[in-house]
Amino acid sequence: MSAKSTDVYAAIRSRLLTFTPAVSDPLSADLGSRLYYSSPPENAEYPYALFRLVGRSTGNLDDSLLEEEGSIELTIVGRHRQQLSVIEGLMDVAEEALLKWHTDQVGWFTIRRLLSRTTLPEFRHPADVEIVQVRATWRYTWWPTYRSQYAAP
Amino acid sequence: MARRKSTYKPSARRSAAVIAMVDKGLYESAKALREEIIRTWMQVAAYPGYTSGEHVSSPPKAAEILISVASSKSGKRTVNVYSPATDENGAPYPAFWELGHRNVITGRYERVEIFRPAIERFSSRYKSVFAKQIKASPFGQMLEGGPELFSTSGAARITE
Repeated sequence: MSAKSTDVYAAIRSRLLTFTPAVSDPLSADLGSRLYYSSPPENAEYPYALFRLVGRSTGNLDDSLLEEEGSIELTIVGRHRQQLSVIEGLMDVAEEALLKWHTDQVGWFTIRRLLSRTTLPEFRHPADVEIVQVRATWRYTWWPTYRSQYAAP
Repeated sequence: MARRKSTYKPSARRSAAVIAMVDKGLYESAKALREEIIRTWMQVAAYPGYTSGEHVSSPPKAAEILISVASSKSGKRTVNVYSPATDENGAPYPAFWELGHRNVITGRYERVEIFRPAIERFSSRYKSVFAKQIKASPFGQMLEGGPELFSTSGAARITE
């Protein structure tokens, strides 16, 4: 197996959409499959979510150079300001889904901690003023199979 | 076995000297980061407009990227590098573009990051800029290890 970046995107996407919290619905109940990588398609229906990996670099404490560190950025976007509480609720579910989550399907991938969570302020013209966004970032550590396969003796 | 308690107490004057030294290192690092941000911004502005080609943006002036006074936060000294720039309506447009927004003029989602890629590019360099200042200070010259001591200490950090 040679898990690539696209495989880890698929694993994160699947975790976020399918995780079912104890007291509310999974994200897919509101988002459907509208969780996009990096940017939405044109005319995407609201609400939707964007995620990506940023700040990818070799782990600081890793002498083998096989470990990767970085951040997952997730932004949930809604339209009409009264939707803000709904969007906040969706981010609560995302937080639960990624709390201490790990998978070995793509090489060992683990979420270390929530770095930040911010409700973005109201933007002004030429931005659409009715858009509400909540953004969160998590620190992760990953031993990608596409690197660690070369460590085999 | 009873342990002897250390009687060492850093003097207030020495603590102030260390803080001043760290602050100078942070400030010089922040200035170098500001240059990197402006360089990144000018690369983006070299294109005709941000993304559509219809709205041309001028490169920023150094005065549009500010450096805050160093302050203590959770036991660490912190300096912020930020842009207070606003358009004629008082809207902080650099934030729109950095974080992403639905643009009513182009009719689509737009995002052009300047600060984050500049910080990522600069992250491997700021420790050496910081260490150079420490080494040059009178207090730093007394420390064994010189810049290497600080290059891996993570004693300072730069935030967006």
